[in-house]
Amino acid sequence: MQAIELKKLVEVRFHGRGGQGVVTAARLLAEACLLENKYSLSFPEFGPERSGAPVRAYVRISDEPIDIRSLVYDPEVVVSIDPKISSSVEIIAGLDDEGVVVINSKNVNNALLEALSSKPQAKLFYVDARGIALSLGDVRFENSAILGALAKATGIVSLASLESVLRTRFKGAILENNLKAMQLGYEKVGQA
Amino acid sequence: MSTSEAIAYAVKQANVDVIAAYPITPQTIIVERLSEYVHNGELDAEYIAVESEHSAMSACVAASLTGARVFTSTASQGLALMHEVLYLASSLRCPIVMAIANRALSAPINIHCDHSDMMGSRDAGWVQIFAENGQQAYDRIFQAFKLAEDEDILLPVGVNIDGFFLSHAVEGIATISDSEAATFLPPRKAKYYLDYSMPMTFGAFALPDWYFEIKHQVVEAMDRVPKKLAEIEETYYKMTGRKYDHVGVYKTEDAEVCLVCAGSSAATAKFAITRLREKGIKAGLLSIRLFRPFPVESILLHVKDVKALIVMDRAMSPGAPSAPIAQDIKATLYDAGLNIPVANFVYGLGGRDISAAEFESIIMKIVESLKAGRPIEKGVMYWGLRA
Repeated sequence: MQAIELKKLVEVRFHGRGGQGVVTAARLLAEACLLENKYSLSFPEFGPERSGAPVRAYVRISDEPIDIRSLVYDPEVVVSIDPKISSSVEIIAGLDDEGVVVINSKNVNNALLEALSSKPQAKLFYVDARGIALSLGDVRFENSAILGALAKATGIVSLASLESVLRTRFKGAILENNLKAMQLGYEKVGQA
Repeated sequence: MSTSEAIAYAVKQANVDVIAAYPITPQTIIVERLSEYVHNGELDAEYIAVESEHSAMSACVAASLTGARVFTSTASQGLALMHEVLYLASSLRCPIVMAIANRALSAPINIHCDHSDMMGSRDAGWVQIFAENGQQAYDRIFQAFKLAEDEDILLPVGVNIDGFFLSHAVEGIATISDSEAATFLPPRKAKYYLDYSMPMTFGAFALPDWYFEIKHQVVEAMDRVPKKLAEIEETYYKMTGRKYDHVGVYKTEDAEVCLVCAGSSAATAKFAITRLREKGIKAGLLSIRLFRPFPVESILLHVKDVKALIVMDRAMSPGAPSAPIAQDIKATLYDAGLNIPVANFVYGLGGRDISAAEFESIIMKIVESLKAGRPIEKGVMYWGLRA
């Protein structure tokens, strides 16, 4: 696995559904990058505000102050937290030719691989985040597992920084399980 | 932290006395955090949970008249519901500070960003400031209180943040210490206020003999704002190294085309102009950071030599010859004897995004018209509207 190069500006797009912690995952990533003295910006794109509705969230990471405030159209990194959305080829719309995709899936997604065949430099990673979350007793740990996988697949943020941010946000058993999910996501992510 | 959290934190550091508010998306996080601060004992203030925005602003006016430092926040329909009381706040010279998370007005119902809400209250006698990012929003809260409560001003101030694009955006924001906040913004000392031991009348009836003069005092106070705000910005700059002025200026020195914009899109436009400059296109940017009073002098410093202006409005004015910001820009140019063509685009209503690439296309469209000697289209154009 290779880290993607932190260019002047890296744009990340998260896909998922209301209630899956899409906005939280984006925020945690942005906050972890701040801990590494990078500039970062995260924001959600809501449709109707309700559980189950498709939600996108965006993160921009840069070594310089970030001006651009529009939605993200040409992401370097795409992350899908919802298993079903993970099988949709629409998630790679606008992906950078050398981009990285991280999906919540038990196995290699052939439809996505085929869609990515026009971008030979792009990389697809998959992790069974749902399986990891359920093994820890709650589907809500899914986003932490995905963040762990993202850290390993892209190298845009360290696992340690993500863990630090989790520690400021949660405590007790919820913290421990989120940390475990993140660690497992980091360990178990595979490249297609 | 998010812009909303940064605003709530600034309001806490400003040590307000009274908050009266009603939650509404996308502003809710601001008043949620404030109610937590009050509940946890981190902020010694009266939090009045009212049943509507009309009551929120009414309570703010009454509290402000007692000499208290007062804050509220709203958006969209909430601001519209406050409308009649907004005029009381300015005419009774209540230095209330309000964060407005700019959101479209119904119908159709929509929770996303545009500037129609504030533009609907444009003439209510409030000072209106636009923030481009979370840092500006945080810093402007302190400046807003200092400006509002100055005895030469005594006007309410709105700090506008684009709904979602700013209100829900998380980024690194530099904060000042509580002691710096206290030094910059000491407790309010009202000269005239409601007091049982010293009875006074506020909001008395005025007949045709004096109404006009009393109303005109709001205009006089508004005219004193640019100089006073500049002094406040200077003091804040000495403390923090951060200064925003009344317009944000980017690469206007040799610009042939200058784009005028307000809010978070100005930041995106800046990104687009950087890219155009790399391609040799002489474009510049003026960001309207102070909208009321309109920064006429500051604008004129930067537009005299441009061949065309592009004015981007995130609100409509149906039936008007120009949208709100363009109306002011055209009046500014006319009074200065400048006959510079103005291309006016309404964009982004109901939260429709505008990308850096779109800003590039808009600017190139005008650059190419100039190159070909084609006249700039008059009236209002609607950018991104489906046919």
